[in-house]
Amino acid sequence: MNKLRLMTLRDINSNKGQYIAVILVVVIGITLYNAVLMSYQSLSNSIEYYYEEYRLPHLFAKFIRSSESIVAAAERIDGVAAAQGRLVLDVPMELPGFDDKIQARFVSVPASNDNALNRLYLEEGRYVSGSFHEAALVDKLFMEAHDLETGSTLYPIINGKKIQIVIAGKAVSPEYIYPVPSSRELMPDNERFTIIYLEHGFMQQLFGYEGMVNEVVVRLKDEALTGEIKKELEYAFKHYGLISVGERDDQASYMMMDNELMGLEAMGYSYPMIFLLIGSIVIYMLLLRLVDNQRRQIGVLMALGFTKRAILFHYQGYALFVGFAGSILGGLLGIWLSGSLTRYYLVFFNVPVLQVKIYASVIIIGIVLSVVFCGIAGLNAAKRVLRIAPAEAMRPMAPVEGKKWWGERILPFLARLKISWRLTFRNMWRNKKRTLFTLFAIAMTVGLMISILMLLDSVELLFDKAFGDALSYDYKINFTRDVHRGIIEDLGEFREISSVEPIAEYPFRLKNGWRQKETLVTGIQRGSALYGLFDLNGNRTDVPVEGILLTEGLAKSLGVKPGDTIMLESLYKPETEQQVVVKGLVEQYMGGSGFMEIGSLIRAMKEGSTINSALIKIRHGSLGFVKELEDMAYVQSVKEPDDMVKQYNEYMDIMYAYIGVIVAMSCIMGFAIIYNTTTISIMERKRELASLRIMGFTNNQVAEIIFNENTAVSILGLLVGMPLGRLIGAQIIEFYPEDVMTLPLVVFPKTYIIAAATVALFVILAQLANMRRISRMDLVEVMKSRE
Amino acid sequence: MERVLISTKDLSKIYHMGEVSVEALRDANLDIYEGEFVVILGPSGSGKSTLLNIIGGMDTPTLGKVFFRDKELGDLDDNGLTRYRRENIGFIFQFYNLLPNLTARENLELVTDMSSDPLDVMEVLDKVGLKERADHFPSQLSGGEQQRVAVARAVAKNPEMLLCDEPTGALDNTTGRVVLKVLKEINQSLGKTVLVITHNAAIAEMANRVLYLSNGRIADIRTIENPVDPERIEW
Repeated sequence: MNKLRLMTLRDINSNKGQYIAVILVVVIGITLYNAVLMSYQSLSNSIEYYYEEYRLPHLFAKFIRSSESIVAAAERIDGVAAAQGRLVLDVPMELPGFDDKIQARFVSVPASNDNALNRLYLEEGRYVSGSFHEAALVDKLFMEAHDLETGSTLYPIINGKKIQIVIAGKAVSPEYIYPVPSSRELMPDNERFTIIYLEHGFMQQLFGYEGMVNEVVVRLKDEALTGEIKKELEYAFKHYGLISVGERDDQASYMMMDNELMGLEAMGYSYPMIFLLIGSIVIYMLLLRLVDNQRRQIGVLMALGFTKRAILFHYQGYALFVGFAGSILGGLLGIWLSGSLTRYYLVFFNVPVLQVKIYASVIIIGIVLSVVFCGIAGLNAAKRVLRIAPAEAMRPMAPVEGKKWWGERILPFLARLKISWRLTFRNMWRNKKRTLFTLFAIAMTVGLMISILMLLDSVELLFDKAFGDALSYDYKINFTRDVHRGIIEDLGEFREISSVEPIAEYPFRLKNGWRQKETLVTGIQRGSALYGLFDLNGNRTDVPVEGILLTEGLAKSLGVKPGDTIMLESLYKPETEQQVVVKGLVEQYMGGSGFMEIGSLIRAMKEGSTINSALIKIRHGSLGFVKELEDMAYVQSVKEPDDMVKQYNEYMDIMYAYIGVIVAMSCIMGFAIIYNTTTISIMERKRELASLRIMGFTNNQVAEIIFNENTAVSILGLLVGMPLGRLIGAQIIEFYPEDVMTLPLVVFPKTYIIAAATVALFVILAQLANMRRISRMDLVEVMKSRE
Repeated sequence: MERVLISTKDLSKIYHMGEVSVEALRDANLDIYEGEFVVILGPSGSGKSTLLNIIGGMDTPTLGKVFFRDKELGDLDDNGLTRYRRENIGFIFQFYNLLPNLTARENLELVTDMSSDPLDVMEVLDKVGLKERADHFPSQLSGGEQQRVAVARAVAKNPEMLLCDEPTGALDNTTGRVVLKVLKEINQSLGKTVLVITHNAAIAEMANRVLYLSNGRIADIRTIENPVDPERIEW
């Protein structure tokens, strides 16, 4: 073997601890990169394939109800590849042994699956028969949540009658990868919501929709035509009871998956870069020290006739070794982790054709990234070799120039500190570059940790706001259809109900010039005690008599401010457009919506005095009453605000897993950084420290000097890292689509405390790990050598 | 000059370097008295540094014993040896070993801060003739001045004995003489025992006693009745 290579390997071997620590940081970065990007690739390719193979439509036209003949009309439009009429109807459903009411979405499918749009993937059983026997295909996640099997019976309540339907099999559709009823629902609730597929004709009969459809889904010859054909459809069906034409992006599952993938991709690039950046900083510091320590050896090599380039490459070799070792290990770990990560998604998503593949391109890019990062760091450190003249290199380094630093001149108290502290600050000043790099690395570690932990804070605050202060009702009753407002008085008659308020929630299109946004507008009674609204300063506010309140995010995307006028158009009655004045902005973290006085909302609907929900507070000990309520006519569901929290927490599991992984990795990184800087500063000042020991300083006193330095740099790192973390966190939160959920930007003190405690912990650990270097220092040996 | 400060009994030190054993010190028996100025003379490799390190509690003998007054150093653990060095021994090295980041005064304070009975820092600096340069950093001082700061630092904690390893080794003879004068002055006015090891025979003339070391053995001990004034030493 080339003798220089041999030297590299032996050097690395004799400083194992340090190299292992840097390699670890690189491994973490590359593992994360491989795992996340491979999961991204696997998921995104599988989903793309699934959408195409199973023919996800491009446009979804919703009607109140319309003659089936419009399907042919849609098909005739130029650019349309296929159109399919269907019924989509939500009804309540009961399951023996399950107390809560279930929202069942019935979707009609063609008699043959082969050429269907939204082709079903049959996980088990047979395709729908078109009769009661083997009638229904049911969503896989729902069947799994309830342990249902092919042949089990379902009891939906259709047109007020309880009906028995036998399950023909387990299926999934590309339209419901993420099974939520609408984009209003953030989290799938696989116990209380399901999709049931029936044969089209059979469903028409069952629901009394003979010859009718209420949705036409359209697949285009070219996706690029989406906008154009959407307009054509809107024009063509204007007078056929059209509610809206939605694109894929408006479709809940598609949108959620898109967001999920975008998030995954962003994460796959951002976090690993931070780890690689820090890894390369540590390598840089390590090599600077190595080159300084081996000056004499460099001089000898030069004297022996090695070219500077050869020597430069020799030192570069250390960095490349770290880069290769780290990226290959990280690649292997990444492959392993991406498998479990991708499979984890299956718990939440219906992706039947998931292909977990190893993407060589990802691995190769990972290796290249790692080698480039480490290589640049190595080159920068090694290039100081070029400045060394051989004769000069053989001589010891010029002695360090001691001086007071400007801090002592500006802040006289610094000059009066205990000597060991004065020494600490001067050393930090003396090694400005290293101090700065270490500070930066610790700040990034802290920042990373805070940015990820603060997501938990945000979610906690979100729940507190949404369910603590804002919503003080016990249950929300959703009616099966619009009911007369008089029902509130009827409900008020019940002894068990202590207070009741009407709620109307309807989808509207809000327009400001070319900007428009479809959202749910909530009508609330003025002075509501059960549904609280808060202005942007966090003060309680009320809906105005006339006009609308918008959430900040919604106002932003519409480009309006209080005092502006917007157009309000009911999605149920496109022709009823009217102007409303934006009266103010409110905080409302779940979903972006508008709020109006219930009376004026109902007037905007141009439809009698109807509402579709009610909020109630019940008297103590009336739990049994809730069951009674659920069984009442018109009642679709009775939900507690807590149900959402429960649902959310389940979904949060995946987030916790990420948070856990990133926090753990940040800790390893933080430890690696401090461990390395500690080691470097001990080795660099061996002689200084040895002479202190000889003068009678104990091991602990010597360690204290090193410890002080770590403490000081870490405290500075914390101070920089805390706001930095908040900043990174704000970026992550910004990235969250606001119409899904507006996360509040908040960092609780406990998060800062956790970050500080973690830093303290790894400072102490690094110190303990290095204590041996101090206690085992051979004083005689150190003092013998000149350098 | 009767009380024995350091006494060694059959001291041997064997270094094992791979398969080779080197006997650095063989059966060294030696008494050093309080207030004495002793020079240990010998070529390099004769074992003088080993002897100094063992006496100073920086190294342990393979065989034999070292007593400081009636305390046996072999009975002390690492902490005990550290305390022994802190309280009783002042080291002076060939290459000064000042902390570059501390001024002359601060280098002394570093030590006095942790000793139980230190001398006044400025008085000691005055004694080595560097009172005016107290606030200079090592890099602003000449080699001789740095070595005087090192001497002052060794003295400031008020130890019983100064152990000097080639204190003039890195200095020219003019500056070297100044350092030797300072050592003699401290020996006489403060009554500190001084042990100097050197290969420079000329220095031996200023001692009360000279030990000759050769191949790890004490070859000869010579008492000098009229030590020469360091001013008059030439090399």
